[in-house]
Amino acid sequence: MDYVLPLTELIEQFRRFPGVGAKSAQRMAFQLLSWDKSDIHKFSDIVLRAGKDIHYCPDCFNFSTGGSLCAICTNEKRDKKTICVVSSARDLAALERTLEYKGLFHVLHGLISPMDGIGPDNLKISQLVQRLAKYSDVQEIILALSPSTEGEATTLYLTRLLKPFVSKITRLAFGLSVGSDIEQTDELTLARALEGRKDC
Amino acid sequence: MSLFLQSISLSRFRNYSGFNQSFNFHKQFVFIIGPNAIGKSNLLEAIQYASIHAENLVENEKQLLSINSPDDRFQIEANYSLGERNLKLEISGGASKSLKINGVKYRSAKEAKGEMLKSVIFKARESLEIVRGSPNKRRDWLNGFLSILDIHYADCLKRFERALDQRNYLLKSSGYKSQQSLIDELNIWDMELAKYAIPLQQNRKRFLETSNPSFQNAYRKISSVELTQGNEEVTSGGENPCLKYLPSIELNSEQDNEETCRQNVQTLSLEDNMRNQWLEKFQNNREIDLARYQTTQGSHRDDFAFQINEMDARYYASQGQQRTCALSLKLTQLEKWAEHLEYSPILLLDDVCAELDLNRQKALFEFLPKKSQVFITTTHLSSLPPMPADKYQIINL
Repeated sequence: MDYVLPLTELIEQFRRFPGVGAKSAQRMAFQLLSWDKSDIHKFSDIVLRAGKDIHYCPDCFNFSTGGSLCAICTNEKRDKKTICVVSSARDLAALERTLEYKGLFHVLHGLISPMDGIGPDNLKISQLVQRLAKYSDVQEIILALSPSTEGEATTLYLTRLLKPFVSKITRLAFGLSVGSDIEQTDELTLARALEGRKDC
Repeated sequence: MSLFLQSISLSRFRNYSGFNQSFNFHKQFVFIIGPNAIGKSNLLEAIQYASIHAENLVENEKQLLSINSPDDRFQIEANYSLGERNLKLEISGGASKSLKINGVKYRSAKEAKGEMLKSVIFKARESLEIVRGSPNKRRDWLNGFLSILDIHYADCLKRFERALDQRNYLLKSSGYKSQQSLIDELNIWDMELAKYAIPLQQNRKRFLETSNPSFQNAYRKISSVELTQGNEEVTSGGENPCLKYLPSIELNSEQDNEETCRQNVQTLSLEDNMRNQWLEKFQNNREIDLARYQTTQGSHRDDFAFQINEMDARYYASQGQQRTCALSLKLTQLEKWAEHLEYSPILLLDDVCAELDLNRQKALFEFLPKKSQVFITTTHLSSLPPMPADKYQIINL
């Protein structure tokens, strides 16, 4: 069964989202059509504004508005001596939720993965180097990348590249997830945690 | 302690198209005898399926279903004992899978890993392929078994293969990159590969070396009778079988490594030294790798040889010798596994007598493991098995 053209196009657009299949896209489109006209206007305005106003922060490449530095980079209270490198803005948000970290961030927007055609040049790596050259008082780089093969390779690449610029480069620890039982933990995680054990 | 299968009951499994066809086993050695195409191997396959482990996972599960089955699932019920413990395993496969052990439901074999029951299977044709097939057959067998024994190995292997894929992609797209960035990136992937290649190689080497005594013992026992045939000592009888590791990239011997380390006491650990050697080898191969768009050397190209008097059995051994090699390897696997599990898994020998002469057959039966329960299929028994009557049972199909 064919829908009228605008509806078909709308469904097609929804299908572009990750995790949305044909059925879900239809449901979303029908839901949208059932709204008041004013709500639809509001929705489309928000989408437009997001597309127009959201930019990368020129320093850390987190999302920011109006071409200026992001809220974290401009925050006077943040520790400017530490930069935490993450692969995506989502990882940044996860670290922010901890309320533990008070330093700055740098978002790479991906990990080195030749299979996906992503090399160091496609990531915000040269920008990180420029940033370190510009702000010479950075004392520690924390590499908070996932422990996948690609994450490990990117960690290695950055470690070698950044050595001349900063005295201390660290990475996140592997270990038990807090709140989980030891007996529930899979063997590999447990073995890694054992390897990385600490003095009491 | 050994694992003992007391009974198995099949529903719609392969040619057992009925319901609950039961077999009771009450002896250590079970001979399953019958003409061709009666279902000997299928019975063995059912036992293998009911021991849910990662070795030789069935490739096409559809084939396990009985052809005239009204619905599309088969069921196996098996009763085991392990020491004082009884284990009842209910497993169904095909369209809908389920697995219960002592009435407790598991969502996957992985979840039931701790409870997994182990068997080693020798299938005449497949096992022979390990001896005379291409290197990847031996590699697959080695990787499969070592992955079961050691999750670290499994993890390293997975990561090595992933890094290898990435490196090969990089080599394929090398034309689009500037020379400097290509070298920078290759350096990273070389280091990643080296990181995992070190434990892979150490594990493989150690495993093959420590397997040798039991492999040699098995080989000599099975072939010994033939050698003294007709009361004549065969002079070429000093067969010296050996499993020899053939790494794609050979590092300096350990003594050399230790020597190098001693000379650079402060700077170099043994691990660093090995890593440097790997990196050097990758570096040397880089030009060829770039020309062929693939990583030409590394742990993914390792092999091992079955040597008899230092000759590769793949090329120089007779059929019978190759078969003896295959059989000895499986017996070694059983022994290694028993060491690791602290109980003896079940041994399944499918059509093991094929192409073995009577003397080797007899020698094999005499040499069968003393602890494991053993299932043997054959079309006929030429004589009664050479073991006490209370040790074996014969099931005629």
